Amino acid sequence: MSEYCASRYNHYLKHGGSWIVYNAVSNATAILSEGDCAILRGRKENLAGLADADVREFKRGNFIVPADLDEVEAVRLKLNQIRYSSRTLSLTIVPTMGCNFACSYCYEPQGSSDWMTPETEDAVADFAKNQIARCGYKGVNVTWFGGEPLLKPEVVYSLSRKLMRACKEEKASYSAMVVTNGATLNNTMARRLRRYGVSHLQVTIDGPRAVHDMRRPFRDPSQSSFDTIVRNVERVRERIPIQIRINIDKTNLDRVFELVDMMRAKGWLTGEHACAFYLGYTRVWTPVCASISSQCFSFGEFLDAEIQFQVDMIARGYKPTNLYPRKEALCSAACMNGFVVGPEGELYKCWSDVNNPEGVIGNVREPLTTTSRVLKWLSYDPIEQSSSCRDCGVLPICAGGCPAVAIDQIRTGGRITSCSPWKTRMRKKMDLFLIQSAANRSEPSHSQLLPTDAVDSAEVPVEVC
Amino acid sequence: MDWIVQPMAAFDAYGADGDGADTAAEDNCACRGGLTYQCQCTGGLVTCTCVGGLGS
Repeated sequence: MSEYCASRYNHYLKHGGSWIVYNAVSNATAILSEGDCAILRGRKENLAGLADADVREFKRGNFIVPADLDEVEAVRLKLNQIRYSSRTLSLTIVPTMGCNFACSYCYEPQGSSDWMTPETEDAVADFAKNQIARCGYKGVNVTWFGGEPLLKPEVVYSLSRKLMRACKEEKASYSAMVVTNGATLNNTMARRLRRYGVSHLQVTIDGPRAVHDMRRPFRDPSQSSFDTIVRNVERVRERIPIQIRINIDKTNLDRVFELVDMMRAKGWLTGEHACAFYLGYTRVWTPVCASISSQCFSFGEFLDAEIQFQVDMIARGYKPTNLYPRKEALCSAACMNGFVVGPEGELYKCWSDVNNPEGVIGNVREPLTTTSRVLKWLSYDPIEQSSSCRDCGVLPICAGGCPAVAIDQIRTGGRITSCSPWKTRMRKKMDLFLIQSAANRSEPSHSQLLPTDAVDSAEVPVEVC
Repeated sequence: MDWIVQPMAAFDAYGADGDGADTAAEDNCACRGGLTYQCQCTGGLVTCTCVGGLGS
């Protein structure tokens, strides 16, 4: 075993009297014996003493790695594989900047409410087709965004047809989802969206009626946007999966459970057509919404609020999601395969740049060229540019966080603050996962280990080493 | 050693649009890694939740 050593991406946690090891490369977790844990934690190059029967499994979990492997470089290789992947062309399409909502925290500059023209639709489809042919993409994934893309769904249908035809001709797969405010949803629309490859919708509801209507009102506020959305979600959720996003800040966090309880009462959270929901981070993405800065959480505060929310969910009998570390892809803004397409066919790399002339990197009608604006994104390398990323134990599951935030912070000499919650809150989050797993009797491998009466024991001491 | 989450059950390296080696978990992932920022999938353990970083 002298040729192996413990991975630098191992995290050791003491829980319920047992040692747990999590590895950020394999994203796997296992229970260790005291002896094995002592050997691994010693980071001895000579791992003699590990139970022979377990060595193969230790390798499979990446808990031990060849001693001469530069693990940071291995992560860099993975990130580069993603950056230059020819698997999926990722398009976020903004068919209009027009919107019927006036959200208090909207970060998009006010733009024309004109819609993408049929001629631009053709150009977008040609762009996708050329990209597939040139780069060998095996699929195209579209996120419909806005403005509000479903104010005029005919445009979404029309461009979907063109894109699906282009994919068929190039033998590429096609998939899509829609980020919508939900105000115009109906059954016919849901059926047609499914036909046009839309797998699911994301709809934002920010709390009970009074809270939501204050934060996300119609431009004409004579109607309750909350009532409209709730009615529409009720209508369509059996026809198309819906994820509910709840954007939180200091002004509405304490009202979120009123919404969650309502969703449960309406049957939205169980059964075949259950809606998933999650908390979104409200922040000042652009100067457009600078006025909300005082009500926003810092990112750290948001992470703590999210954890407390999950604790409260368990205490209230809900099953929270997102408890286990997830591998986060390098943002498509920092990848060759990711583009945001504006209503006039203009191209951006990042959603937060939409309708900002300084963020435009080209147009679907023109050949792509390498400019400083493109390089700003494609040269983003957290390992090279940030020592805190290079030395970080969760780099493989974080991939450097949001490039839009990190690039700006690196440029100004600041410290990157968009880190994965697992960097600073591994103990609390893994503890919750273990507790919830224990409660889930359908996962016997989990429940063997853990106390089942630990619902209120979010403060069970877990050591992270 | 006893597994709690096995490597193959965990979401593989970087999502369905990642390294070209999809796990079954990725194949079953509703979002297919398509969202711009985060694809939060944890395979068969927890429901798949896709999170658009800047979703409105």
